[in-house]
Amino acid sequence: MGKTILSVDDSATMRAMLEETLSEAGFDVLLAKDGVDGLEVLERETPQLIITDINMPRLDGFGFIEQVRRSSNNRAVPIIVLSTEFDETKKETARNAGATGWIVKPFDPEKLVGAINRLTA
Amino acid sequence: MMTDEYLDESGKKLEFVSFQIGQQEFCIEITSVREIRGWAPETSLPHVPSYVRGVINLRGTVLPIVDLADRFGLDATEPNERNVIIVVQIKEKLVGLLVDAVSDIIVVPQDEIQPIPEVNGELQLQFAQGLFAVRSRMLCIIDLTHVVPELERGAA
Amino acid sequence: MSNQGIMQVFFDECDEQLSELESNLLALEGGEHNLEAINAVFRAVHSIKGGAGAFGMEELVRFAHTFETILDQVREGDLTPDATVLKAMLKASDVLTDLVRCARDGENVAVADVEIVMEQLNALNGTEAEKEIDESDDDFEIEFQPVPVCLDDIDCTDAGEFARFEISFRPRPMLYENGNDAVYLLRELRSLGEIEVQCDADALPTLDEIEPEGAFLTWQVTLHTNSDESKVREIFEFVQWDCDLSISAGNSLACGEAGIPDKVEAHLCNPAVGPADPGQFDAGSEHAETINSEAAVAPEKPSKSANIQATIRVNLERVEQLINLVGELVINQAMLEQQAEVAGLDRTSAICSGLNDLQKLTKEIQDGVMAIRAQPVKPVFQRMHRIAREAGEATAKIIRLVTEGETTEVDKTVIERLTDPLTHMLRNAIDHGLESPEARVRAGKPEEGTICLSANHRSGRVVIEIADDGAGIDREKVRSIAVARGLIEADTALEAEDIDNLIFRPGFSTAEQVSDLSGRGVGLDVVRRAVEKLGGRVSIASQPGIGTKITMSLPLTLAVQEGMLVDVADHTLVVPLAAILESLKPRSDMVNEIGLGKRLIKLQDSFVPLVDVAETLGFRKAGIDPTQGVALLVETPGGTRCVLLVDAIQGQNQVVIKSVERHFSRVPGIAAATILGDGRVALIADTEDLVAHHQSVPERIEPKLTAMG
Repeated sequence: MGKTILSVDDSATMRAMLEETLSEAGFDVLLAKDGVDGLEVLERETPQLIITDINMPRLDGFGFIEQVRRSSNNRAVPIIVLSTEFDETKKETARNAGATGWIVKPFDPEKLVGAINRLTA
Repeated sequence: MMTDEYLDESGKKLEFVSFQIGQQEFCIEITSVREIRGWAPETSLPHVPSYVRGVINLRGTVLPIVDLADRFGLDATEPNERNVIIVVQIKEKLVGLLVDAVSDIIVVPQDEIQPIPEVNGELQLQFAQGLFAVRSRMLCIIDLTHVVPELERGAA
Repeated sequence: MSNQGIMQVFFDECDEQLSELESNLLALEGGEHNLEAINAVFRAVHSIKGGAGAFGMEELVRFAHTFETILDQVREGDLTPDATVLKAMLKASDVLTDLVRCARDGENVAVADVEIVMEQLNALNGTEAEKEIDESDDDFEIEFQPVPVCLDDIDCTDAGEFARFEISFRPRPMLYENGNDAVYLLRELRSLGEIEVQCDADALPTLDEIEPEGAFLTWQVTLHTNSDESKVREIFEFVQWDCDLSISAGNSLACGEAGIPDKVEAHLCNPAVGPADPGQFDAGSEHAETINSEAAVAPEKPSKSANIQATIRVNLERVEQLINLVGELVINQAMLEQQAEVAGLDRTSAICSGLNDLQKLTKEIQDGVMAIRAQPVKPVFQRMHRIAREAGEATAKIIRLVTEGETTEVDKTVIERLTDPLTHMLRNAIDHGLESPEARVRAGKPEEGTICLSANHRSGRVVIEIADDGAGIDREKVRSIAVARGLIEADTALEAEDIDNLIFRPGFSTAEQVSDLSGRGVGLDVVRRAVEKLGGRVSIASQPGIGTKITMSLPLTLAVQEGMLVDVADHTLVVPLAAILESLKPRSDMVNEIGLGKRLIKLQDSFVPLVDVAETLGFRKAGIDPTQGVALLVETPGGTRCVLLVDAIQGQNQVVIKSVERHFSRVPGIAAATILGDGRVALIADTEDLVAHHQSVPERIEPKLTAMG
């Protein structure tokens, strides 16, 4: 049975890459183009893990993570932040918002899949 | 069953559609045939060789029609409803070949196909890529790639 | 999706982001100092950088990074986006556009330009500039190495050097709340080497007292690994505040017990306790609120009022296929109708009314499908801002480009082919239409010249206008140039409007000097040709001292065309309606033979060449008597006027355009084909080609005539 991963990113390129990488690794992939979109997906779906960008229109990654952590049905899902940024304050903000981990873009597909596998085992 | 398998191993078999032009019989490989349909009046094109009879509407596709008899230097066909158009694919393009009638589908082991003897100067042999005999009949395999040189000119 | 496919997605996205970037910069320039515009600008550059990084487009990444650094300062309020800053940013967005294009087309980048703009951007950074440059180079190295967190990074290179670490960690509830789990961390540790794990569950309360989402276990781990301490710490990097952690590099003598912290209290031992499955403890959400005090204030619930319309990306081929199928449907429906008429069915019969409904539905489906290909003109219009900026710089004129009706939709192909003529027209308006700032002031006008670019739908066509508030066309000058170039006779009587239209004639160029902009020998005739190739028309209106307005009227789609069906020696031919100026029945006194079988026809005061279509196409050996046929006065996309002589006119119809080249090759005199109501193919005339062919051939086609029958 495939695990379902939700990927939230405003960049179509990044979404395409993640979809490619993750479906090749055998995951079912859900895509959302920003935080609002992501929350809408989560109203219907319960993915095993979420990968989110930080910088997005309408609702950014921090806000999105907070909303997920407050939700009733996806509260404990691991959330990996996938961002080009890497400064400590941003990481701390993400952690405080409820992020599980942080990976810097561009990502190494093998490592991303490895991280997902460990967080969803 | 045993025999079929045995044949498969001994040599590749090729399938051909055979057809008649006048008294002669030709064939083309079945893999390039898209469909066979009855003749319909063409719309003639300006400034094309006489063997390009024109274009017809094949379910929305503008399909050029080539009179093979004319192309082979035989008497040009005077088509009627009994004539047949073999729609073939030549590279990326679809072309309708106007012939008198389609006779058969023939399966021939590849090693029975003979090269063209060099004695004959007839035009149609310029387009032949091989010969084979079925019972008493001699069939000439047509190489479609050079039959319609206009296709290679492509878009201007 | 292939890598190539993703790259295509990236470039498509770049186009969108660049357009977003420019429109937001322009909004900022227009005085809208809203945070959302700044954020959008930042995101656009950021997204491009992200994608470019993934594809290893270093040049692009480097530039985007510099740009982004400045944008970040604006976003953080450290830099005020004043006119200078915005100007540099607009320039940077132009360079970014170029870099994207270079990356896409695999062209070389004009490095000098990039460096200059990079320097300009860095200069905005003020005193920090140099430091920032150095730093950004360093950052660059780090940033675009994948930096894994919570990942296994087994350093196999110094195998043999085994160290022992004593790790003690006690997760706090926060660790579980953030979707993590002790199990994951233990697995990470195991990936570094051999581990021995002890669970200390002394702190675990009895079952009736237990807090279901609390954290009560302490883990003691002895790790034998050839990794160094930083690797071990890295595993805990993201949870270091969510647990009590101690890592000590022990020697082989130091024993497990030394590592156990004193504070551990024990009651019960069950290593399975603790939320191993993140989804397991869903129940008490109110509880989560109380302990989640550390979390920052949640943002306001995102408003749905933004209401962004959902879109999907569809492969263009699928759309084309659908359009083709609908074309079939249209033809089939017309055929059925014709059959019903032939069969003499009563118009009030059920079949006929059913056919009527079918016709309406078919039309609606056709419109609907065509709408799929329709796109707003916005991207093309936006590109014009850059053209205007550059043209303004080159001519030292101050320009304000105003765009209107950007949401007007036109067929994708029409849009694609619109850029060149529009660019040309805009440059022409700036180069020749607008006066220099000094001249404007002398004329009592504002220094800044305004050009208004607008689009709107008018009676089934899209009308694009480009209007300037310049000096208007200098008709005396145009006239004398036209005479000098031999376009008209010195004594030809012309209306003001006719003089204005001379600027579209081939070989006409009002530029006294060949400037950078207008180029050598390229005039507005190129624009006209491009527009007419699209089935459109161009017209001009000018008022001295007030300005000039050029209007283009274009079809909404290229898949369907309005055509005049005519008889030509037993053939039905379609002549594009857009090309026909008028039709007339020639009288014998209008026709003049000029030898070699060529004839001219006299219309008003001018002589126009007569082209016998059937003869030119080789459908008939000799031309017919013009008085027996119908003459169509046409104007070719190249601007040549001539009269096409046909046998008779059948009527006007909308025709679905089908390619002849697709399965055959280019046929002289023929632009395309269509399928008529009776299912037969009819050819669509290429007026320009017909005229050219007529002038060059008549004899050559002789031998073919017999063959054609």
